[in-house]
Amino acid sequence: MESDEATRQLAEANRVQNAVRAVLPRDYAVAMGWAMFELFMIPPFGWGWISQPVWAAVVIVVGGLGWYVTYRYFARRLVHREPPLPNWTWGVLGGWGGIASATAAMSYPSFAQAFLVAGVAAAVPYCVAAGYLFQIDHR
Amino acid sequence: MNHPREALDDLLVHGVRFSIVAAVAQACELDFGFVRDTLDVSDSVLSRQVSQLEEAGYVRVRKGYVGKRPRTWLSCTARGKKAFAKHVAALNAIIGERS
Repeated sequence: MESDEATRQLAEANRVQNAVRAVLPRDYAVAMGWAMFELFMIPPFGWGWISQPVWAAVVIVVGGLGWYVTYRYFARRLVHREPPLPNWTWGVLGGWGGIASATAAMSYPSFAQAFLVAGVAAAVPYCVAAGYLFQIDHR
Repeated sequence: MNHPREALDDLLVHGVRFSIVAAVAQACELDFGFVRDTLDVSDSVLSRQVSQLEEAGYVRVRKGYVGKRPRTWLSCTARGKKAFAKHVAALNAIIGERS
């Protein structure tokens, strides 16, 4: 093999690896998306000027859309790997959000900031997961 | 002193095989269709070259499903990564020898 051919092969390897890099997993974005969902969707339940049933409908629609986007992301990605977080982690995080919301619903209105606290409490574990996944995705 | 070309991996001298290993060496598993499109080769060409790499223990093939759709995933073995690194070092040595 001559030098020109070696250069050509290395350039091709570079091109292919750049193409792979462009589609590497971005699981952290999914976790961050759900953190934002918890942070911005739960607190308005404690805002007196928003009808709770109406807001509940909004949450259901946005949550359903988020679930669909999440499903599509995991189903269609081109790079696959052993999940850095076990699948049940997502269930636990979602369950924790549910528990935080239910606790807030029980303690509101005697504790006026209940939904704000619940939103933050539900979002924090997602943020931690997003940080962990970001670090793995960019290793 | 041996010429650096003697350190090249015989299997990876082939352009398509080299590109396949280059792609899978940096990700855990790659979708077969993605590799095919990135390398701009046909299914049959890719299958043939992947089979050779699989026989040599450089690449692992896993068949699975996403929903009801069958998908094939390619990944690089430790042996494949080692061979790729050695081959790239040899290529760099060949280029370095000229300059």
